Amino acid sequence: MSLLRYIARRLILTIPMLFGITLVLFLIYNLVQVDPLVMIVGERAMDNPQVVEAAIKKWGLDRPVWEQYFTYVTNILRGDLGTSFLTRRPVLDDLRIHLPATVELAISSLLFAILLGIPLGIVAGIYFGSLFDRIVWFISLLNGSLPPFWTGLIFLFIFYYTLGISPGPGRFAPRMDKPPTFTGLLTVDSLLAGDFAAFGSALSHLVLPTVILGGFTLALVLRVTRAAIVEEMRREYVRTARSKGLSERLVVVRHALRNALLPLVTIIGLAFAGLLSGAVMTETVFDWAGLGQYLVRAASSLDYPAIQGGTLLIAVIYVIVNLSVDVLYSVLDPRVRHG
Amino acid sequence: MRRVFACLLVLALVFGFAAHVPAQAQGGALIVAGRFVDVITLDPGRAFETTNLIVHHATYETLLNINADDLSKIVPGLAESYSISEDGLEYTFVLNPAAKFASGNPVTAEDVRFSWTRLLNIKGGPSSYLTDFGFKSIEVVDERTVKVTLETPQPAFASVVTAPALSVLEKAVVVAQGGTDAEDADQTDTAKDWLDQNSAGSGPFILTGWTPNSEITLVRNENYWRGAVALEGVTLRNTNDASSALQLVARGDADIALGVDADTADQARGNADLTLNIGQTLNLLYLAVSPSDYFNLPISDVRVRQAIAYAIDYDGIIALTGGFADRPAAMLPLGIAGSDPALRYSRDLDKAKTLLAEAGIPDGFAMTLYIGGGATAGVPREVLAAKLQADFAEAGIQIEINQQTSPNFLTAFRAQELPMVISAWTPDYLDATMWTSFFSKAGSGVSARIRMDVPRIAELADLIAAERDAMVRERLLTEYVKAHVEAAVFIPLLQEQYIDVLSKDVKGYVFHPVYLTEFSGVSK
Repeated sequence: MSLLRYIARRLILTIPMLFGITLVLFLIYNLVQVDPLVMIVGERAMDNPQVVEAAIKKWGLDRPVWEQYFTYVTNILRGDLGTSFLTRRPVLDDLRIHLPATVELAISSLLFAILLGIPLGIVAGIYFGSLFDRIVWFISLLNGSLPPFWTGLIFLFIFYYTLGISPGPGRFAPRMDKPPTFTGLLTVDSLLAGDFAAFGSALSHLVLPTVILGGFTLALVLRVTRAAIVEEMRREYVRTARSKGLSERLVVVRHALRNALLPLVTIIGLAFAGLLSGAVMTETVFDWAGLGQYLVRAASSLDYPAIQGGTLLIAVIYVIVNLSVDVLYSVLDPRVRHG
Repeated sequence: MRRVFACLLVLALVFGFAAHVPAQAQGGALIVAGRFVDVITLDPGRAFETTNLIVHHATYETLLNINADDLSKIVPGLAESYSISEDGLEYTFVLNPAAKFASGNPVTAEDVRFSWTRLLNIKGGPSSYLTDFGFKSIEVVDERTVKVTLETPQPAFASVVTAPALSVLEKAVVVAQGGTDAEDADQTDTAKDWLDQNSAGSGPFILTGWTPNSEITLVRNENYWRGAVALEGVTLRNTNDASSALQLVARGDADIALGVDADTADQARGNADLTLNIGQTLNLLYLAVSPSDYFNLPISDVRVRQAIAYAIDYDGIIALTGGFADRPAAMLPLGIAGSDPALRYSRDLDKAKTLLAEAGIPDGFAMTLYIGGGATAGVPREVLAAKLQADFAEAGIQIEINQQTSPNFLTAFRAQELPMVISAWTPDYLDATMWTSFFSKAGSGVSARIRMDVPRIAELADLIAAERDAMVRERLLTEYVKAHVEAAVFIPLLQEQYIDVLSKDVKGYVFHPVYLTEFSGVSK
């Protein structure tokens, strides 16, 4: 019961937080004195007063600032994030189109990072200082420091262009029929349609971008796991467990790992929120029409409604992920709930 | 334990890769890889970008056409004939009785009137195709005849009619989707969402979907009134860079890589499965040198501007593009009647120095060259500016380069505050006035931005705009080019070429300088 109350309290607290975010976003928009009109009507049409006047009226640019903010917030409450200057479509629709691609890549990158990073980190931590440890350490360092636009291009050149064992850029084979859209996640949609060929295509297109993007998170997860294991293995309770005659596997899995999980949950949560905000470089190299690409275009074209809508979405993602992390934390360590 | 993890890693990768089935042999839609992120809408009444031209030219039709093989000839489209009244104010178009929409319904005069009136009343960017040409009214004479009335005679109007923005949409379909041609269509027309995903035209293809920043799909119009085309469909697939597009074609995942750069073209040359298609665009990159006293610089002396024109190493600049460019003598591109390449400047440093000496500055002078961002024919502005800087230095002219972001550059250029700039010009329709109306007069167009006031050029531009006899017009245009070469205010540096990489199985592909592609004759 107290867990539910804890979640409810946390949820209520997010409301003023989100409200504050809209205010900050709106203030930034009004502080940056750039005329969005050129963006809206285009360079050549600026000479046509009729077109300019129609645009000012249509986008409400002639209203006072407070009125614009009031309209903005009431619209958000109604689920309307405004209309993008650039795409002339509701921002919510745009986000709905671009978010699934990012979510699919984020989930697969996170799984890649966790499934590989935690085991490798544990082994490296146990055999701290061994050759294996040093090799893993080097690879994780390399992974974390190579720019994805470079590794992405090199991977495509080797695995796609030269060897032909990987599919090319994009989310799906160009000559194949896409499954009907349901969730927007191509792997899920193709399974729902029972189309295994399509599922294979969607899955295989995920491999290279996942290795590139997940590589960063993998390096992070690995380092944190390794450090936590090294730290925990030196603790008294581990010595006690060992002296009880427990097998080394049980010592690590039941005792050390469980305590090492706490910092990991935080790191993984933040990393996941980061992945969900869109990875511009990876998305660009792999022609992955996701959130990152959409927001970069919005930013470079001063498309305020899209920037505000996208930022709000990312803020919501962080709030939700943070909340989940805290809840998970309180489950793993009940002391947190009352702290 | 280690082995388990190694196996896990290998398994994951193998499973992922094993799921990948390499591209199957040909058949199906034509896959076109290129950069298509500029699409904002596919509603012909609203779209004013570039990729939409490809889509609209494939899915809709205009009353008249200009084919890639002869840019100076206007040929019938939906209209089998047209006539112009004696005073040049009234255009009467007679529709081809065989013309029908993809739905099977005939194309009627009312569809034409509706489409153009809707375009006008939506008041978006493309409405300028009508408003800039003194469009007054359009009326239905009978089922197959429409009459357009203009405020003033506009010999360019027939070529404007070929613009995809003036496509004919099926009224019944558009109205059923919330479309209207009413006066307040800018507020009340709601057909955009539907027209973004579907088409209501009579062209050889039908639009079946658009996923922003990802792909646009077209399928063959089985009802096409000129006979269904060979291709089953066309998919425009967005690729962010040319080398990925080339890789897709090389591996058989795509059939055409559209608009690649010179380096990628070089890479394609070594591959026997690929062919290059070089298309001459009408896009010009130019150096503008102000003749105005306003800036208080030696360039107000025509001899100094001519010296600048003689100092430029034109061949060296074309070499920067990898050889994928040409250049006309003045701001009238090659391919347009009257553009004579024999009148071009070529490099002559002695002549440049003599001219500077005659102008009283044998030791040269110093000034600033302003540029924005971006690239033409693969050459970034700053690279080109550095090349000019080196060329001018050999003639004794010291140039300082001032680069700004494009919006800032354009704002200053429009405010008439820049004495020397590099900029570019892309046509919207194929008539000489697309250049003569913008590069001639003191009060308007690009000539106003650079403060050019040369009465002879302005006078010729007026004559050209009003002349309806093609022979006389061509003679006037040659005069116009000569006057421009002499004034040396706008010095063309490059006429861009467009490079497409095709899989060798693709046949019948044609580049078009305005619509970019012609898919109707393609087979594979």
